Amino acid sequence: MAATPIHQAIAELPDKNLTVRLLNVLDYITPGTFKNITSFEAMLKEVTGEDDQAYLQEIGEHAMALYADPAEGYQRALRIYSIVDSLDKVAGAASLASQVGERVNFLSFLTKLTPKDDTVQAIDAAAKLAAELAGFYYLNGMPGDTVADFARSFKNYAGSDAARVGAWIAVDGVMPLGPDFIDLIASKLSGTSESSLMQNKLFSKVSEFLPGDSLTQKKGMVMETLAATRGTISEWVSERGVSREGIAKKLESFVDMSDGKLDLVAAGLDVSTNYFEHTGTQSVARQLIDRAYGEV
Amino acid sequence: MKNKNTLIISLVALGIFMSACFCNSDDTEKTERWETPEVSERVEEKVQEKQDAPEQVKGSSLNVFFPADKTMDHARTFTQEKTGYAEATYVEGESEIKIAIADVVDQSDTRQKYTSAPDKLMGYPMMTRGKNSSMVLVNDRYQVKVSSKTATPEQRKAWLEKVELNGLAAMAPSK
Repeated sequence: MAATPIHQAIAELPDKNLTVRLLNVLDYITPGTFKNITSFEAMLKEVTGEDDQAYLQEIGEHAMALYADPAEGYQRALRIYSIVDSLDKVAGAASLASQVGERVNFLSFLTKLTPKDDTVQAIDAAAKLAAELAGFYYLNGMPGDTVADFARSFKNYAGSDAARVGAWIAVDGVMPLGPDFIDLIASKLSGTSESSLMQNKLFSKVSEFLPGDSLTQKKGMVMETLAATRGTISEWVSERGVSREGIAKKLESFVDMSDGKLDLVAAGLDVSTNYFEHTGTQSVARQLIDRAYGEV
Repeated sequence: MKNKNTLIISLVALGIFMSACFCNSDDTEKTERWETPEVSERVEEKVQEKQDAPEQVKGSSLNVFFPADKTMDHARTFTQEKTGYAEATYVEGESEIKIAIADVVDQSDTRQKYTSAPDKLMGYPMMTRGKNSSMVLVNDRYQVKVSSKTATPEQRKAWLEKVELNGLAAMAPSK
């Protein structure tokens, strides 16, 4: 099956929905400012700063041609970002996702939402960081030392990349696991046997996209990634005073937090948003256009 | 009078046409520019040309020709490396420069543009395009492009001069 063309994938992103609201309120966690760009033309202008229509048309068409070639890796990167969000949906979540104006109340979902236990949560969070690494690999070609290059680039994240990581820090890290979530994820991951790791749907799916032949190698790579990004993440968390209370306060603008169950809210946001896929589509379009601009 | 009627009919027709446009969903408006038969044909031609072209050089073989880290006090980061393509950004404060070296053996339209290039840099045809980009073509095969939202055309040219164009010209394509 042919992949959805990139100009269409970005046009299908909503201007407003629960995911966009989430990304906007959590944008303070990471550097840069999130701009929700949802058209190919707007992304072309944003990336290049050009306004000559003929030039933009040429760059856009070249980007489309690059995307159409599966060997270039851009399609695969988008698939990785999408997989992360496709495995955690529950029935009825779509109706929550499209809520634009009103406050969301996850209590009505109590029967379908069970906050994950710490180990499952930690492995899921690790799998998402692994997806971030794999997405980077296919987008950039990752020259040289895989994890070190990723960590260097991670430090300079901005725009949709930074927004995705900011949401991950809040929804998959601080809210369910607390401010020391990176250490907790590392210790849970290292203490989980490979057979149990394969039982985790998300981890086993994402690991297919990581370089390396064995699960031991892949697990090692995720452990390395946690260690290599730990410093940057801790810096953001402490510099910006990211805490459970702070996040709860930000979310209050659109989520009913009256019962104070932050882990339930995190579980609700997990199933009713697709922040990885949303920002991932924007990241792929950006990188693709950047390349096309360099080539035409 | 007849002209006036024609005008009214035209306006009504325009009105109907425009309301039809506005009835389109938001997504259609965003995508229609990229979905004409002409665009599809050009994109398909590009894809085909890419498949038929001689093998491109490895992206990693292009890295050595980039200006060194700290050139003009800018910190260098390599940002993409794909077959036939390497890219790095150079940042110092607000100044941000992107340099891309592309093996355009699979892009006849890009090479073609240089036949009318107005300038030369170290003997290689050079041109500027749009507001933010300047580029040269080395050996009718490698395009070196400097783009920046902050630099002037003169500054972009100065960055082009920092790339090892002669080294690139001497590289055997089989590498």
